[in-house]
Amino acid sequence: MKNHDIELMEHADGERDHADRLRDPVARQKVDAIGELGELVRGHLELSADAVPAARFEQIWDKVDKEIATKPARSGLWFGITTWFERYRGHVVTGVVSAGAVAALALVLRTTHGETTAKGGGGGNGNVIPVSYRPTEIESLDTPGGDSTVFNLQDEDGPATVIWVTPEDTVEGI
Amino acid sequence: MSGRFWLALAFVLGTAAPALADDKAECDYLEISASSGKDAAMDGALKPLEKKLKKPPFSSWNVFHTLASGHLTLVKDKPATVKLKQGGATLLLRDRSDKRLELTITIDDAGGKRVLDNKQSANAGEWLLFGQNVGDNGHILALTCK
Repeated sequence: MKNHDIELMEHADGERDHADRLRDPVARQKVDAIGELGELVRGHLELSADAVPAARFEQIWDKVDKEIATKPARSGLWFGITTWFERYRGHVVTGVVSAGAVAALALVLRTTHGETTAKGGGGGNGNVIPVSYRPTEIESLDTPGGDSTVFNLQDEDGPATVIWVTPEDTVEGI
Repeated sequence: MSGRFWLALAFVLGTAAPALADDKAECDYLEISASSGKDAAMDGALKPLEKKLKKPPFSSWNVFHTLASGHLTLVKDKPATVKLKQGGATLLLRDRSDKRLELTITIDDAGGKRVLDNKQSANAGEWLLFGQNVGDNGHILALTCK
């Protein structure tokens, strides 16, 4: 290839301006031919590029059609539950983390406010009674045909509530 | 399905379990006869109540025998019937927290006559003793729930 042709190619590609060479009709024909050849190559490449994805899409759709045709549709309660959990996995995990945080907070607060105990006074018998001890609350007490008495017993084994019923005939007899 | 999913599910169920347990109470009961004898006597099963049975109003007697005993699980708002040797009782768990139990207890004598109808809020694990005079003797129902 002559240096002259290289300059014409550079001109045709727009890399350099050699317009002065185009005064020669042969050179002008060469530049036109190079331009036409370039257009042909560019068009061929664009068609090839368009053809490749189209072929791939055809393959993908073929594959999807085959999958749908071969796999039976899954159904049932368990499938529904698992699908729901998979779909809302983010929500479930958020809920679990929140519940864990609340449980941890409750445990911490519970430990902090632990029960205080004090020794029972007076006898010095070492009987330990929780300071926060609340005796049994009698909300209602009905003893048809008798009288009732409520006792609160306290010893080393712990407190106890006693409800004693004395029949009326016994009361009269005393 | 991923292992993380099963772990999360186990955690949810684990945290939910205590909430379900809040609707139940485990109870033990002892039916006791009290009488007076020449020699003091007490069944081994009554050992947890030994000190209490030496105090009034029980100190009037010195012989204590177990007539019946048992365990029952109370479910919230479901009455449970206890068949006693001398009569019967009905227990109802109305509500509960970690430390307190709201109970309704009714006791009938051997003739089926209502002796006691009681609503109370008691400490979990505390002994509750319901007694009555039967002639010269005593009849006691001891109950502890937690």
